[in-house]
Amino acid sequence: MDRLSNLRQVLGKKLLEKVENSKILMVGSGGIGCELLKNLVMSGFKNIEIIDLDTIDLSNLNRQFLFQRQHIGKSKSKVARKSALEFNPNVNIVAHHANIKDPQFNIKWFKSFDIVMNALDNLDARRHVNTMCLAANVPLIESGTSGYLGQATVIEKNVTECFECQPKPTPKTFPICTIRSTPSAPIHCIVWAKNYLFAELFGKSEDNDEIDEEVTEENNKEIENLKKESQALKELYQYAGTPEYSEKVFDKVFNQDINRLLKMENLWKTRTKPTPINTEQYKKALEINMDVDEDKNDSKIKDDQKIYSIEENINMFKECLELLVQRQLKGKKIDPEFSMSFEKDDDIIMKFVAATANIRAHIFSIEQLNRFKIKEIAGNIIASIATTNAIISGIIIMDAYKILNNQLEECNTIYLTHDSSSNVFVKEFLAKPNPRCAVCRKSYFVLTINIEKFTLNDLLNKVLIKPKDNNGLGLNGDITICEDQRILYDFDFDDKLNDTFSKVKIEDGKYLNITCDDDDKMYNIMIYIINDSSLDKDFILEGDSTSISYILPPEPEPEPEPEKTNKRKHSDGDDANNKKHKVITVDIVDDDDKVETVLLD
Amino acid sequence: MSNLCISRLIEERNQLKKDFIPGFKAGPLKTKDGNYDILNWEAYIPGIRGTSWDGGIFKLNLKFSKDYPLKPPKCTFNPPVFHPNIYLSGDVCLSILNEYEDWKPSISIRDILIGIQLLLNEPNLESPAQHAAYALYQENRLEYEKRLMIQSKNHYDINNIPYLKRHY
Ligand SMILES: [Zn+2]
Repeated sequence: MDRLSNLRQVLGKKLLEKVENSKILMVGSGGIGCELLKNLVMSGFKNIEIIDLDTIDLSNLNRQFLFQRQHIGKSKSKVARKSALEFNPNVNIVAHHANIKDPQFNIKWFKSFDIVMNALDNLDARRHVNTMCLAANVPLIESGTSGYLGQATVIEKNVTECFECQPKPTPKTFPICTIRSTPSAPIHCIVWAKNYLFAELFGKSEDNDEIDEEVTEENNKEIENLKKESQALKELYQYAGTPEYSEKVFDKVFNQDINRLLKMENLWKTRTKPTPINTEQYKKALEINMDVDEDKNDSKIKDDQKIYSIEENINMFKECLELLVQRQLKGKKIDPEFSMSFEKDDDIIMKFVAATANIRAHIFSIEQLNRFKIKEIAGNIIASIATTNAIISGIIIMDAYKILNNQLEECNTIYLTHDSSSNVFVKEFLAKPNPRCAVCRKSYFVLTINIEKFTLNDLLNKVLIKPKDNNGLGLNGDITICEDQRILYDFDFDDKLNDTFSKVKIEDGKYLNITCDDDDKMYNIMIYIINDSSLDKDFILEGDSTSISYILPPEPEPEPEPEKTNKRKHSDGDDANNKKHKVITVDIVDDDDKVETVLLD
Repeated sequence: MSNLCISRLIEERNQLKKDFIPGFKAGPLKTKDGNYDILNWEAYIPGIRGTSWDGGIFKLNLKFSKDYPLKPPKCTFNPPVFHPNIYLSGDVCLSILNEYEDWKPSISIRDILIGIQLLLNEPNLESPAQHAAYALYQENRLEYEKRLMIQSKNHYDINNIPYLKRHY
């Protein structure tokens, strides 16, 4: 009896054959990826490519079970491959330790797969894979988990919603006024400590060089003064390394700035006034508690779960600031451009952010948090649970079977919920594409050229505006050519028209986003570039020019969510709709993510 | 890359070309390497005629994130402007630019620019951001208006910006 006999009975000979002959791409081999790869090799799949740019970290080991302690620092995809082959040596796994956005993973490569499975932890890569799968016309199984919540769905061009048909919740950001002037929650203080104070003191000196010299020449004192004031904190840097430095910084941010806020009475009509801490109080605090060397008597775990007194926080502030300044001075000696960025695993930085966040919270009468909690918020750590990943990976395999069996209509969007009052699974029919989606309603083309010879002008005149019956795309109107966020050509920017693709750095594997505005109708086209230096003609254009249609403008207002009628709810709970919403708001994260902005649910 | 954000910004740019606002200029900024960056715009906002802002032309940077239009752009006057609702760094504090207040994805760049132009002459004293301007406004309106008029005189003369003439 071979190892596939049970599977053969369940799937039938025909489907198992399809499974064995299929070629699968798995993007990401972290939390979901480890579970999924194990499932793949155990359920009949024989040709698998996996890709991940990460290396293994100690914190992965509790759930990413293909990795062990001796693998720390090694490539996730390579180790995952090796470990999975021990489950089943009779499969082919190709592992890429690389970024899925690298040009070698071009449209041709995507086209070589029968199914692509996303096991990713960030929006950017997911959007990229979504676009590539649409362009290559390959079905994509998209998934994500966060704590006990998870979801999986299938994306197929022209049949289902794509990843971008509905707007995705984005990491929470806070208005600048709340952060700088009127914090009202612990998170506001944490964001201030991390993104303002720490960044101002130790980060890159950004943007300021943008201020134009030409203007300031005009003896404009007002502007000078404003600039000076906004630079006041940075100017304290001249005292860095001296004993007064920490006192001056403290006085600036926790006394002077707070007093300035207090003077704007309107801010405090309906809010609790902040209470500044003056230098005298600061010095007193340092006297009371000269030693907060916490590692001496307590264990670390206990310490970072403790709420410190204001005096302890002030001591912590001084101690950490001095250590960080030393680091900064040393760094600047070697490289004048030296800067530090927030790193949650750097103990000193974390203590500094926690202490200053808590001092600010104290000043504004906001609840203080322990360092463990602050680290979770500032470091944007989201719990990832092995069981959730395992369940979602199981669903992905079931979806893959259905796709290979030509039963796409049997696939569902499945939400794993965490609420004992109703079903753990909420199933929904796959939604139809959003006719207003600017991503999947586009037409996709592949253009093969010699990038050393072909110019933007050639693209414009020989491809874009040339009539459809003459091997062109027949665009008529204001044309804009973009590559990512770069505008290469539009009605005003035409100085690059005579440049070759190579000169404007449009190389093999890049894609161009072309918009044509024809009397308020927006036509949107994506063109993938393949470079062929031995091409014997101008270009080869692949794609269906008759498919070009304009995209409906966005709906007037996304007022109260309209009830979707094309969806069948399998859950009998009345609140299924609410629950679905709740799940969606967290579906974007798999593992601990390094997004800069703070994300909370 | 987010296709949504870039498509929308291209649309906004085409819209501004068709539906031009007299006295204003706005468009993507040329980066140091000679490219135009669709996520980074520069705008010139004229002070309203007949107010203490008259004659001034104020340069504003608009930084769009890839989450635009779900999130508003960050608007910063560069150089900063003396005004109760503008931070010393030049950042503008305005409810339509606040994701949790009045920002809606349907708000156009045109709406933002006009909104900021209005804000210049009609500060919102409920959410002050710059102490000096706020205090002077409260304590000595006459002196406040005087400062504004000096400021307007000292801010840009649009004809002296050669780059602008070429590309907007
Ligand atoms: Zn779509």
